[in-house]
Amino acid sequence: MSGLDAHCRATLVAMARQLFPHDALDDAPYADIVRSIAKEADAERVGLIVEGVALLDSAMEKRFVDLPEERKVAALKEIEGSEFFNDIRGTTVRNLYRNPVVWAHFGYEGPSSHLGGYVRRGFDDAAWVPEK
Amino acid sequence: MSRGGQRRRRQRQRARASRGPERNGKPAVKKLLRTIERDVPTVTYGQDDDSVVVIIGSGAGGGTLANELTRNGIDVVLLEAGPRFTMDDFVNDEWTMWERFTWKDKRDATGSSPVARDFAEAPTWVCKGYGGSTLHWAAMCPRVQPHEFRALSTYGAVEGANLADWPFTFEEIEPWYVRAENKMGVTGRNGIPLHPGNNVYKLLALGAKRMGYRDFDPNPTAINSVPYGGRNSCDQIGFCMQGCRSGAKWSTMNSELPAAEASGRCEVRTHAMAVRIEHDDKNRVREVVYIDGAGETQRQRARLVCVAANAFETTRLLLNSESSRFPDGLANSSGQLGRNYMRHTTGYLYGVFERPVHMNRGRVTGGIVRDEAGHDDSRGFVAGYFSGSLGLGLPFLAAFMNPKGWGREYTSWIEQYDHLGGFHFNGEDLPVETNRITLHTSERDQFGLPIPTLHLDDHPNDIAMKAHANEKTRDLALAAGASRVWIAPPLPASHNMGTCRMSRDPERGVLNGFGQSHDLENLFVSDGSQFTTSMAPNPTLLIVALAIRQAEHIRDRMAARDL
Repeated sequence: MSGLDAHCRATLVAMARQLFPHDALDDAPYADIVRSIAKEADAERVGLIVEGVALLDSAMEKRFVDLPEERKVAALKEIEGSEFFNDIRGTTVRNLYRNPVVWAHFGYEGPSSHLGGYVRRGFDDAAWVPEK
Repeated sequence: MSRGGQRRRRQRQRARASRGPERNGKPAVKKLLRTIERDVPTVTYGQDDDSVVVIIGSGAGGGTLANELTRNGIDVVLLEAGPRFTMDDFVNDEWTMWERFTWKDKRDATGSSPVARDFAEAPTWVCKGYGGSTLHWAAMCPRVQPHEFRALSTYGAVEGANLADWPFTFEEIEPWYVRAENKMGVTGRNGIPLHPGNNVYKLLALGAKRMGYRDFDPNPTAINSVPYGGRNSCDQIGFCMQGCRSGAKWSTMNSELPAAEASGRCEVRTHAMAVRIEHDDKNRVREVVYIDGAGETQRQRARLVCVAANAFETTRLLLNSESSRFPDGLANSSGQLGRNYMRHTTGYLYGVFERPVHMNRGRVTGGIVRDEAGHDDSRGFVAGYFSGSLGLGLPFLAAFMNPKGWGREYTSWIEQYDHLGGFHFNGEDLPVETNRITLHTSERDQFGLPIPTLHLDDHPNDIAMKAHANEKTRDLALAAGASRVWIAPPLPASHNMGTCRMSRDPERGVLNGFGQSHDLENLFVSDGSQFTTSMAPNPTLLIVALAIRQAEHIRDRMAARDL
């Protein structure tokens, strides 16, 4: 078990959500990513995260989790490009959008070969596109 | 922290990132077990057998060459750095396949090109394993335009570019070119029908018509529209770049390599990373040093060596094979080895349409427009580009629309996923001597060898072409009805060309017109690094044509006892 305390984890969830905000999603897909980070992080990465959370918390007038959206964005802009920011941004973009729960919200249909692909299931069904 | 400490930290982070967290939900497709990777050779050759041709790499160049040499009765040992793959290894998931296929060993990039900025540690996107980068290629086979073999004569000298004519004309290469199309089953040729257009193609065609373009169609690809070459027809599953689970796409994994192995004249050794080529004192290479899967150093004697490891690794291997006779890298008396690196001028655009497009359905590159492919310098640049339709899945779209993107504006595009139509372009970029692969001065890989490092600045001609192509492609998407269009930066390069360029003049290039070293008569290069110029088309079809022709050259020179 890693050394990420509840506050760090809550901050990471809020951060992941603010980096890739989708009103249609509840916190669960973001929390799943943070749970995996917490489970996998070695001491060095924990250190990076603890440092990063402290920076985020001191960037604005309140702790990051207590900020309204536009102040959260301002705090993230303060640390954009740092090793911590790049780590969480990269991990989030890569894992949020490979989650089938998330796909369903945005109309991505995922694997298809087990259904026979789209050769008889609408690969050319956009009849609304005019001829010319 | 020391620089070494930071580096190690970054390496560990990358290792974590590539493992990725566990998945939240189960993918709808049953997860296939990894095939047990084991070479079951139909023939074995002794490591001191100096009658064999050693090929390094099993992709479009090396895999094709292996098949063509064995068909001509020549014995081959093929060294492949990665694992063995079969169709059972393919799943319909972009990141899973990225993790499984990609050559992830570290590279380094510097320079002003956006690729060096966005992907400094991974400027290329190629595969490692049985089949090489034909595992992930999208199978586009546009035809080379004859004038592109005469770049210098056609375009004239361009300041800052090292333009040259190829050592042969299109007319000379055409018979092999046609054979490559036939071998690969390119649609729209040899009586094989083009695919019907998918949804994104409908938008491409509409936009093209409204732009006044005339030369567009559903894109000749080496993906079967009907069963051909022992392969299935396409189910339009939309995962061309994840190995093709339809079994419809040509790759060396499903064609050339099994044929070569079935001949009983080709031993494929996977997990065999070539690290050095040794030569004798008579300007002949004599053996290849490689590291096997157990980490042991091995050697294979050779009558002849063909390097087909994709430009980064081909170049690195030759540079790392320096000797007292070739202090600047094997076969580099010209000083051109590693220079003139080209990757194509590329771009990706996404339009938001009024109704669902489902760009994930059907071939990834289901349409092509050729109207801008010719040379017309009234546009403000020399050479030309193809444009076409594109269908990425949500995982790659979100990661690559802006490799550093985040925030509500960014996610507002992602939320429109099923209404997005993708477009791309691919144009000739110019050879520049200082666009160059060299050996890193301090960083070493897992074998203790210097990693390759790329310096890349876009030539002003590339920048002008990209601006034109972005504008025209955006206009096309708008003409097709897009309400807004996102212009994305280039991806890491899968087309890596030019670093061992062919030249009739040994002073000005590494290879002759058969991919044969000017310096060492029994050393050949068989991948895209041979290219004198990059031309507008995707390189694989020409790599295959050159491999067929090279195999016959080798056969004839061997028969004449010249090699």
